[in-house]
Amino acid sequence: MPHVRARPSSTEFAEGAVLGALGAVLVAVGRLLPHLGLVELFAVVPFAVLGTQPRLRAGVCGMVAGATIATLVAGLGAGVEVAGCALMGGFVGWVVRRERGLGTILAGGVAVGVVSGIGIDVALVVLFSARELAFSSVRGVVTGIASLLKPVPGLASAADQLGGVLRTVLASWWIWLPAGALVGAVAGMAGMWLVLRGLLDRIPGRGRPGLGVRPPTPGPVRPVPVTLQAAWVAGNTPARSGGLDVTLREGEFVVVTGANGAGKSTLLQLLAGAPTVSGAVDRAGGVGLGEPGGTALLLQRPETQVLGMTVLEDLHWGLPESLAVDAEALLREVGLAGMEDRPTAGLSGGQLQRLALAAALARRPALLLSDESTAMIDEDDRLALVGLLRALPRTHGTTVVHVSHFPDEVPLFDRHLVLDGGRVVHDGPPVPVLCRPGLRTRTSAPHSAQGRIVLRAEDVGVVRAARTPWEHVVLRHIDLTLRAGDALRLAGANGSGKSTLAGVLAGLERPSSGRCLIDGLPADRRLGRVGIVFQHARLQVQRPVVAVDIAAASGVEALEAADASAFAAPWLERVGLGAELGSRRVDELSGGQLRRVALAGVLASRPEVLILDEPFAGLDPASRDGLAETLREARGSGTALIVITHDVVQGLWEHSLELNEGILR
Amino acid sequence: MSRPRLRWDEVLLRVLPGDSALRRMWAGTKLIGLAVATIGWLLLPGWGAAVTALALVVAALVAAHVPLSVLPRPRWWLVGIVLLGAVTAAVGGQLAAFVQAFAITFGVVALGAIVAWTTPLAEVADALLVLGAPLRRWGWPVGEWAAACALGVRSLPMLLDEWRVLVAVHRLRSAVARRVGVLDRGRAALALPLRALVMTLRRAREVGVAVAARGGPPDPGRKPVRLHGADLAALTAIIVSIALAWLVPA
Repeated sequence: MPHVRARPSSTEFAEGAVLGALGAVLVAVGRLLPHLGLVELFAVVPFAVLGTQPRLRAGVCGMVAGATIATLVAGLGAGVEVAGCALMGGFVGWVVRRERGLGTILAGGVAVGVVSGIGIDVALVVLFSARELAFSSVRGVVTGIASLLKPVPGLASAADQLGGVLRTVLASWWIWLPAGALVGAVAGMAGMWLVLRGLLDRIPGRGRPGLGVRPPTPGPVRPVPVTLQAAWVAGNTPARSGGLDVTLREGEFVVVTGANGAGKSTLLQLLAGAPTVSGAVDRAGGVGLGEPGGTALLLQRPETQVLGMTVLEDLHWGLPESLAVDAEALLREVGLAGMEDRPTAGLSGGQLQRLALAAALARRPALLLSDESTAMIDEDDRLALVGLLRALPRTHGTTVVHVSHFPDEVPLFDRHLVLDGGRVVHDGPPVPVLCRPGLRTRTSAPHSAQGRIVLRAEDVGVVRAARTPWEHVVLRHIDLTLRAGDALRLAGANGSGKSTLAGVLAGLERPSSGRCLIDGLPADRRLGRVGIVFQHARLQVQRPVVAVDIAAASGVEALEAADASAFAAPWLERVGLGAELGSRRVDELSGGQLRRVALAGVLASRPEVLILDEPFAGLDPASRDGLAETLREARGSGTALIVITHDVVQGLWEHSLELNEGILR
Repeated sequence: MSRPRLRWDEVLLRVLPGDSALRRMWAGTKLIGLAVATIGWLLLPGWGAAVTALALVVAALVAAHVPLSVLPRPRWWLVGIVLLGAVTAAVGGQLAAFVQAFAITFGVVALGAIVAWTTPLAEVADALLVLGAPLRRWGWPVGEWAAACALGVRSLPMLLDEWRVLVAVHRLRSAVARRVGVLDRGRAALALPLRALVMTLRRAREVGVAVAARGGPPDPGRKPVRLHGADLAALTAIIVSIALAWLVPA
């Protein structure tokens, strides 16, 4: 096997780590909490996914990580079980990847069965006392059951037989137990293969390399100057126009704009060293992704870039020991002075992006690629981050390429690339970015101030892990009354309990004290009357096709594709998207589109109260106005709104409350 | 007064706040101790092993400052099954064997849980680096394993958050579903783990890009191990308990 010792790529390594930990958690939960024992059966699945990877070493990495975690959390037996799951699941994954048939699976099952059978025999011979103890215990239980059943007429013979079978099995355990293991392994692996074969094929993007998963390039690192000539990335949707032509010099400050599918990601992938399918890339030296003096990445989602538990640990993660770094100065430079020991879990999105920038700067990159890094953070943080990027060409000589959706960021840059249809259509000083055509403005229907009460929270409190050392009071004494058509803004810092409050109001969670009523009944018995649009829309839009998801969100299952499109069309238009978007695949949507699809789905379920978690974060001004208009319309039709946001939107709500350490003011 | 039942994610995978002897111990000592104790008891089980296993659990509870409120209340039917087993075993004349087997099994699992409550999982990665050092000489990628261990642990809280959102969406959608046939509900419930897996994989790929941005999978070096008196005491306790178990056979 040529791939056994090959170093795993970053993606394979991360998949090994995350899926291995998942397997460990499933086994540990099943072992420590016997009433959840069934979840142990699923522990093979993550390893089967790992098994579909070409590099065995990544799978072994996941297995060792998972077994170590499981041993510590639930004992040696759990670790051994994780290893066993990894072997079986890994083999099934390998068979799926190689597209072998049932014969291979059966052969593998026999091999695993024979090996584990021999293992069982050896273990039971060595641990002979434990064997005798366990057998005595089982014998006692079964004999007991048999003698209890004896007086019952009709069951006496069954009891005798039970005892007889047990005596036979225990007398020649060294045949029966391995035989059972063999049958179990063959049947189990064949069953797993039948189930997982279909499943593994449905996992999107299997085997497709992401941005920057290449191993380090040999030779001197020098990512700029670089010239792209009609270049395009292998595996991306083919360019209609022949590819990208761009030249970048040292110390440039470049912003890239363009619609979805214009080629922005492709441009960044090319600059990060992705293999080309056409055209040429002429670079001064190696790309050096993540290497000193090479190419640095700043990604869209703040929380996925964090790899350390504390700020300092994250800053040092993966840094070569030879590289001297002044952590204090770096953190000061990005505005995180004195936060070395803060846990990364408590940082805001803006702070996380600053930390990611500090980690990038620690490598003194010659090229910094920022892939919509401002898209998911607050307004103030957004412009501050662009300000930090702006200083880099001057202070570090770094070339910065920033992809943006925000018109107000563009004038801050020296050079502006506008992409359209896989082609550079403007290259020069910043030009104004056209906003989408004007959104229809309608005067919203006046709502009555004295509508029907739809939701009432009375003295609601939520305590987590009550009366343990982890006790945490999330909400205290919350009183809230919402009438039809009311609108309320809810503000509060990270971890102030906003998401928990949303969950309680929607009936997803019963409060520890007090009560929450929807139309006079406890909220958890009125599930679905309150709709939530979660902050991370990708988790909410769950079906592969837009229209099908909107139909599913409103409770209309099993519709034909055409019916789903017809059903979804008015709701798509209501959130400012065209009806034709209904037939698109969810994977092709931008972040902003995804959010509006999620909103359309919730609106289609006609909730009486609509809760939105940070709906304005990362929207450009035009989209923001459009969303506010949609929400005003929803209000006009009688839906009450709770908007969790840091932003201020004129005329959308008349009450604004702030949640501070669980207290609502 | 009855206290509310704790959810599993309120108790599992968490570390008790504050200092304790068990908390100060090196994670490697705990891993070795768990393995040695398990194997020792299995080699010579009996009343000695059963009693020392329970004694060690009590000692660990004290040494870890585990408050009683943290201990899970077993479900009534689980207690029922165990009691039924004990009764039938007694009728079958093997009560002693049943009690010994149960005590040892319980001791092994409980000891693991107590250790987990006092060990930040990130420390396990460092211990793996040291314990696996001999394998390094034969070219095994021990550093890669330890880094994967730490990264997996690091991503668990994020994954938990995302699973919670997935479940919330599933519950809200099921509540408004107009077709409430058993088949539809079953299908929707089966789709949930698949979605969770796909989401986990997507998240893993995002983490992979972040790893690439830091120059690829790292190969961390060993950190110095600091052993305390507690480490010595724990290993002594385990060795004494095994010696006792062997001296007092069934």
